[in-house]
Amino acid sequence: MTFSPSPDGMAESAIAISVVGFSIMTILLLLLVLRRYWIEQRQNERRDSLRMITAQLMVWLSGDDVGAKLADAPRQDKLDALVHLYQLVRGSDRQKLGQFAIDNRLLQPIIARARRGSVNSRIDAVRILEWVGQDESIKALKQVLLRDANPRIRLEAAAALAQLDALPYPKILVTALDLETTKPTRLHRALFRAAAPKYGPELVAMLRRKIPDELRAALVDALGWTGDYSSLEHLAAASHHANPLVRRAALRAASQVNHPAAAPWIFALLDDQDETVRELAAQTCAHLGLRKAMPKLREMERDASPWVRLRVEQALGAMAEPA
Amino acid sequence: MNAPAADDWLVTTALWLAAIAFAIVSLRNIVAVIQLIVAVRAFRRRVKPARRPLQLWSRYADLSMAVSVIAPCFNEELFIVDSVKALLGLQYPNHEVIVVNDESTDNTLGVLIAEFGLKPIQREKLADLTPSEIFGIYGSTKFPNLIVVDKANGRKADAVNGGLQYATTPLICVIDADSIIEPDGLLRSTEPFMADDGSLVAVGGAIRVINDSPVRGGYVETVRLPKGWLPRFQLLEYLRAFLTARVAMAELNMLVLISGAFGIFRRSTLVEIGGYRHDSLAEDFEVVTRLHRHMREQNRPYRVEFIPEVVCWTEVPFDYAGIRNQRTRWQQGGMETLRSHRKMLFNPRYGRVGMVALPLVILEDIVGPPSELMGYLLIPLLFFTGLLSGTSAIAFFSITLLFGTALSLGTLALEETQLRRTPSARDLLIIGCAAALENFGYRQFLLYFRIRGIWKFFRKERGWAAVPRAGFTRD
Repeated sequence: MTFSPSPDGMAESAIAISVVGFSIMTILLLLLVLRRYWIEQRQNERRDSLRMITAQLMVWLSGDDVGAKLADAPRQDKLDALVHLYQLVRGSDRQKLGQFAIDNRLLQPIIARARRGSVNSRIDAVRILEWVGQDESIKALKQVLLRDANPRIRLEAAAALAQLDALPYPKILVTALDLETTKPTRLHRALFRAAAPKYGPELVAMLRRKIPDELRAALVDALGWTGDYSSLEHLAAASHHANPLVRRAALRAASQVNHPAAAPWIFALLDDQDETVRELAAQTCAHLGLRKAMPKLREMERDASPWVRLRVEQALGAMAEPA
Repeated sequence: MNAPAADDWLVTTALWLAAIAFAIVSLRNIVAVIQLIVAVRAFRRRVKPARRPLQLWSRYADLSMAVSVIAPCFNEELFIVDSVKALLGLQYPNHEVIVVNDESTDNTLGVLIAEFGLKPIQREKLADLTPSEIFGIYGSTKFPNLIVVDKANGRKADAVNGGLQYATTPLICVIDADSIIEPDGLLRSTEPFMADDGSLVAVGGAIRVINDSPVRGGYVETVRLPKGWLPRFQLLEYLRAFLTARVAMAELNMLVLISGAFGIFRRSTLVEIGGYRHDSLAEDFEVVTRLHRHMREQNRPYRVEFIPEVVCWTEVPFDYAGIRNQRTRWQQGGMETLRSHRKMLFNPRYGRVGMVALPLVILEDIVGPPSELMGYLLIPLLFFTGLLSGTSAIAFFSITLLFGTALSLGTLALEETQLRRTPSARDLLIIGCAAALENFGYRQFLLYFRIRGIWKFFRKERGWAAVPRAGFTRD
């Protein structure tokens, strides 16, 4: 008996398919290799082009006119060179580079990309706008923050605005990022911190509203970054909050404010029932150099929580070192 | 039973076995094709990472969570200083390095003490995760973020637990002593934690082969293609594993394996499950499976993610003896883990992990190898006994070969279009050739090593054979 699970005709077809498949794969591999070879060659040319543009931009920054030399350079190369240089310069040079981007109409396509296209492309565009800065970019980023349907892109736009010191009011931020219904992350916390120096009173006003504890903690945390000692009274109030998240946020903020007037309520938190609050209170004492807390800290060396004992040990060590 | 009836029975059985083997091998190939398609979709949808470390740093330096890098070491006296310096020099704003000396018999500890000015310190033990004796804890007078834990020998899992006991940071990075982390690898791999709501418990990253690339001061100086074909075949395997299988499984939220060479874990969750198991031969697979089990049993929302960017480089075995020991151990370890967590299999309580991911491991690691072996044995046998036509036999082999090569080339194309870490066009061509060549000999050896692992598992042989390494090409 001869068994062919597939009749010979089918087997022959399978062999033919395999041969065709291998031929196609060979061609595709060769195309892939050729594409790579072409990219390598082009990369060398592009590296030269970027180097030339960067050099010309530096000459331009020093005040010489190089407009004609850059006129023929590809727009993408100009933008890449500009973004790279933008990260290396400061102050008025940054302003000038931003102006260069506007004068050379480099931003328009990026702004258009930030408004439509795939999620990837929009995020990529938002990041470029962040690097370039300028009023036009800020305006476009604010529109993205308020209007984009995708929360990921709105968050990316908010992060870009934070980098450009152009965040909107905290209330707008909370609405745009759905923070009354979703749990704030470290990124959100960083956004509020970035907004704090400008919007201290607005943060305090928001704390008077009924808001979720997680959001309250993020706002209390941001109070430490207002640069305003009057925030201490709000931190003292937050130190009595029922949720340890908020009490911890008050301690983090107090560390940042770094004023000994916070000492009484920080000492009180050394006795907090929540171990994470106690350990942070010990760290805060060390950070503020509150040597009056040392006897209490020595008592706490026998705390039931190993984390508290560790932080107390570190705090005592830090305070024992000469200033 | 008369002779013709016995013959008929044998023939029917052989034919059925061949058909079953072919069906199982085809099913594995189909799963691999689906994984490749899902991986392509994941790559297309992912947000491109920052192009330059400077961009990454300026975006995330203030947000990053503190990380403890736990580096277990055993008899590393020659290279430990370079390795630790590279770990200390990682681009990360807030990390500590915990080196765990697993009772090296050479002068590893002495070298560390001399180079980094180590002094014995008191350090609070924050968890109890290893029965091994801790001989001492050392702090560095030169680097405040370096700690050395000197402990009794207990292999890698035990050493990691030894370090984990003293880690104080919210994130833990576990690496192999012979791993080389990319300078911005920590920053890239902790990125998912920065916008996380607390549900992310672990992140894996892609690992690549570093054989024959020069390493200076603990960093990969230039990436080069390995010279031998064996490391090249393994390079291709790593590409398939990391860029296709893991990306796809993570995309479908059922990643069950984060490589032991590099993984980031939320410390609190890792401690909650008791750290790594000391007695496992595949502790990396086991710990992630246990994480899934723990979180599912507690009905807690959680995620395990994977980033396809290269975060770490590792040296692969350069000869068949090394691969044999490594793969046999992986096979045994995988089967042990499946046995330990058999309760999860096909159990809806464990969601996709129980219903899909672990059954796929069974298909790949338990049912797959014997079926493949059966195919290799039965098809020639059926042909030589005249039961299968030559055309059909060739058809079986050519289709299998086509699938194998297509999957490798598909992954290579994905790598080239998305990551482009192959050094040059010439190297790309060589790896492409390796995709075809590995089907003639290498895959069959791997199959033998897997069968060997299955055999040893059933015989309950639990020896830990060393995997010889050539050592990095160091200056």
